[in-house]
Amino acid sequence: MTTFSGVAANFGGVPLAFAFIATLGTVGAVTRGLDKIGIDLYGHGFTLFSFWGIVVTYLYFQIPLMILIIAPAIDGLREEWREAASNLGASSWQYWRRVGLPILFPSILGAMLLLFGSAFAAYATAYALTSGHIELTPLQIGELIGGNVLSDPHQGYALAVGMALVISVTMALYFVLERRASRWRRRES
Amino acid sequence: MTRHMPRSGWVWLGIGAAYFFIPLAATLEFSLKEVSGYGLSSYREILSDPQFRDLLWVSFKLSLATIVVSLLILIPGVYSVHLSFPRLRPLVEFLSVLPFVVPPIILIVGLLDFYNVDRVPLWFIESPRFLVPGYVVLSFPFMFRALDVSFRSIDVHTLTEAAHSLGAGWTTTLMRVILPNIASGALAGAFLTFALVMGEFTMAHIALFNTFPTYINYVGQTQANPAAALTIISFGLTWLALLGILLVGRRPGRGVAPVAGR
Repeated sequence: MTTFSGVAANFGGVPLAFAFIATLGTVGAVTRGLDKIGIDLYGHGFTLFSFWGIVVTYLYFQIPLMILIIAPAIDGLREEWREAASNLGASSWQYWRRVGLPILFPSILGAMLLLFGSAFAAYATAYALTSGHIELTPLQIGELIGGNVLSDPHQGYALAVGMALVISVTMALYFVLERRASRWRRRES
Repeated sequence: MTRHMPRSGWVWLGIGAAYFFIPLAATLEFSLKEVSGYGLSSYREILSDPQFRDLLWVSFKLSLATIVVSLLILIPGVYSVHLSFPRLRPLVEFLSVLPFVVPPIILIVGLLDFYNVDRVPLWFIESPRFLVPGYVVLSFPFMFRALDVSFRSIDVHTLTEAAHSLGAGWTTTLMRVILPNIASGALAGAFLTFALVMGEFTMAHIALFNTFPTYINYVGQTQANPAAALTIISFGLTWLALLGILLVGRRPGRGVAPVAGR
């Protein structure tokens, strides 16, 4: 499971974009398959080369990343806590509501921040998917810096600084949450 | 955790596996498609393209250079942190997270601004080796972690003192005593760096250099089926590198012997 997640989380960049074009593009395998059973994806307004198309594609490395980050936290839930809860008459739902989720909460929030950072910074997949024709901050910076006729490097630098600020705030929050989350972690030696 | 997997767990696992494998299967199918029926013509087309070989070679050289430079910096660096400057550890660990945090797009903007003609000789700027410093930075977290784990598993102080008391200098100690003991970590770091550089698109693209990933993108904008074939090839490369790490990690006896050397 973790090995697979590791492999999938590493499968990013340009190849990922083409894998999804072959899957959900206008002549992709899944698009054609759904067409055969009467569902016309593109007729319903879906296109891989839009906001939601990029979301579906990013999920391919984001979900495994989430598994990799959150698995240690879930492993850290001690069996004793569940036993103690059921001894006191808690149902499974009550255990998760009152014990499990509150303990996991900082880890989940932290993992969400990391995923946010990773999606916010991604460039290659979105570029290859849309040939640079979608307005995302990293693509805009690339457009402004990369020797284009219309380029305005200073605006690019400004955007880059803004992006760095957003990422710094994200990471600062992550470290705070990580410290809280590690309170419950079993110390292994 | 998997002792009692509820039925819903299997359903989710199935959905996850489908999500993981369907794009791969679709890409494979796409890469084998010909005008009528299936065949290997897309692969033949890619493999006979001289640009494919050239740019694969460029990326390969870049990843070797990155591995060599980062090992040269990090082996003595991590060694001295473990041996003499344990108080610097929090700082080094913080630095090792930074490349995760700073997106490549921002890094390359900074690099392009910093390495301009006034500061750096032209032979460095005008060839893809321009990318090596950036790649060293990108690979720093992976390399550092891999080496750090290795150094943790050996007794750096005892090994160093034993080597010195037998009359070895710093170079001999590092090369003949420390290096054989951390070889598995260094190899794992090298494989990770290889996978990283072979797939790095953002920096090469913005800096207008042609490497293997930019070639995949270029093919993708013009020919759909060969691009699928390239995607499969590139995924295979990543997979091989990760397999390498697994294999290196599975040989406990070799890299972590308490005292190695002949």
